[in-house]
Amino acid sequence: MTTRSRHGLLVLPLLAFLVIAYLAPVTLMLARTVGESFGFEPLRQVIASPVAVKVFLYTLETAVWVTLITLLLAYPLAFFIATARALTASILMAVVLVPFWTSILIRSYAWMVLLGRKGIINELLISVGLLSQPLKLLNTGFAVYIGMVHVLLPFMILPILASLKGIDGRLVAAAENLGAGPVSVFRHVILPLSMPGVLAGTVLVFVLALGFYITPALLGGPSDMTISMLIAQEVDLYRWDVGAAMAALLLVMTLVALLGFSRFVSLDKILGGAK
Amino acid sequence: MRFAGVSKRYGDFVAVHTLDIDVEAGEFLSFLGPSGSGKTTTLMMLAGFETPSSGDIFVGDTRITDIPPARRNIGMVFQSYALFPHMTVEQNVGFPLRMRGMAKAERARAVGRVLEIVGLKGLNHRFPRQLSGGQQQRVALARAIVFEPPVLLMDEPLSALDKYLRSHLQGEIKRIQRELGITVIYVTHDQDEAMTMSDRICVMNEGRICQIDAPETLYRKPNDVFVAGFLGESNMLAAQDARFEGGSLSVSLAGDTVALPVKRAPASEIVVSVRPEHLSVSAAADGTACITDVTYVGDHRRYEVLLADGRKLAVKSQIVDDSAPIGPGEKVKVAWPTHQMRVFSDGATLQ
Repeated sequence: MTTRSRHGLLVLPLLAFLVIAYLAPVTLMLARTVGESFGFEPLRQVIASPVAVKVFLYTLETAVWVTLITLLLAYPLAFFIATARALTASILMAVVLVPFWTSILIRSYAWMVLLGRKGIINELLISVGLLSQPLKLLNTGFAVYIGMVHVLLPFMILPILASLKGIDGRLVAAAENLGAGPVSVFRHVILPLSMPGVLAGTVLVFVLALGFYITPALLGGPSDMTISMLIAQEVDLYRWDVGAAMAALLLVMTLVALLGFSRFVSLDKILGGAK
Repeated sequence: MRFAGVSKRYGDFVAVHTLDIDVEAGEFLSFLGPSGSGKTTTLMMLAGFETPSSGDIFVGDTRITDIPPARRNIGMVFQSYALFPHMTVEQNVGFPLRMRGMAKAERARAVGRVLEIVGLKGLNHRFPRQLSGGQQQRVALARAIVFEPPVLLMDEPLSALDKYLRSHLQGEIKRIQRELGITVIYVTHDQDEAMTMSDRICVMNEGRICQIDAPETLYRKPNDVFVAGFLGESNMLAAQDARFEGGSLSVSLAGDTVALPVKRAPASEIVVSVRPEHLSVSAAADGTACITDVTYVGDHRRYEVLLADGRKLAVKSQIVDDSAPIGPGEKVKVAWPTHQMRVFSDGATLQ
């Protein structure tokens, strides 16, 4: 046996793990969607169900909006961190990262405490006199958006920050020297050179948002049902085949989204490859 | 272009002491000095990336000290070229014109013209990473001259290139400068580059100007002990027993008494500089110096000479006939070329 092929043995544990914990379950799941005698009965059932279609569309819509909001919030912050002094930058990084390291469950509960009928926000607004009746904040789409954006922000900030920090400061100096004001420098140099980070963050956040479960389950109302919640419901009802079909559809949706993004992400090579 | 009493301090550290420089239109002026001499800081103040702590900078009669870099209209070639990686050659070169609101068709014409000047015709749609180092350098140059700035700054523009390409581009830059009649301020630590390209060289050390002069004057008549040692090769010798009498300074150099023409009396210790090619040695049984090494370098021989006081002297001896070299260990006499020696006291010339 050659040295190289012996080194190949090192991947065996991981390979075994992936086959047992990932490949096999996914195959089994996909197999269930086929149904008896290859009629794709479960899949037809999902597509024919108005509820399922509505939930799929809602999930997609939520993912798109959450991604957009996250991007709009994350870019300015990343830009500020990238240009701030070392101390300010590290404080802001801590503010971004500490929630990132906290469990999603805990963060979602924290939002429940904040947004509830007798939650901190309502109590505060009433005691100040701005409100007489508590607002319904919790168990609304609003709460879902807040919770999801909060959880997903770091996934957008970090890649954007990385690509902003990778921009050669001399390019900015060169652009200024050539007559570009601050707006032009941003539009023609900084923004295009940070696109790889923007695209990476967008892909990450969008794909994660498609599969969100805990946050919408805890903060959303009855109409804020995502695919993951619907799948869990089906599994609870022992309708495993339908659940599997939904999971397969979610997987396909995610892959299609990734495929769509990959057309842009190939820009990465053009933008990042040169010095 | 003019610097009037310009200085730059960072806290207690003075990066550039009071500078007064006048640069004529169309002149090629180099800032030459070791790293940390303040030459790049000076250039950055010109480009507007650094603000002087005191003094003013003028281009023509316009005071530009407070004008932001974007509105200075000064071309600059960065050491790293700083080409925009996401733009093609055409877009890179067209960028300053676009920032000036020039229409697309006119821009394309100007870009085409300048790419022809720098010899990059036909590479319009390449990206910087698809170009060689020399081509990138030309793109950077094209981008810096396309908007016809009155002054072009170059910050060690050739330092990343190999020797052959460097000397080729030196010629190209000079040709383009002559063609366009543009004023060039060139920063380099390479003295050969400064010597071959410049109308005048400003030698800087520790944030001060040592001397501004034409290359030949700088080499032949350095006014400053740093310039004498930095530019080319010099033997620096401490002189003893100095006596100043009637415009002449009589000193003792390793036992030989030498009379040197000077304009003023020395203030302190005297240093004499002499170029190896101006010295000559001759074999003499009663000589006080001794050859320690001989190297044959084609057109000349290089002797290392040990003086009576224990110091070493480098001598370049032109080979004009078939004369045999003086061998190591032989006693020699040193002929001191008094009219080609420079005398310094407190770092400044006495001549």
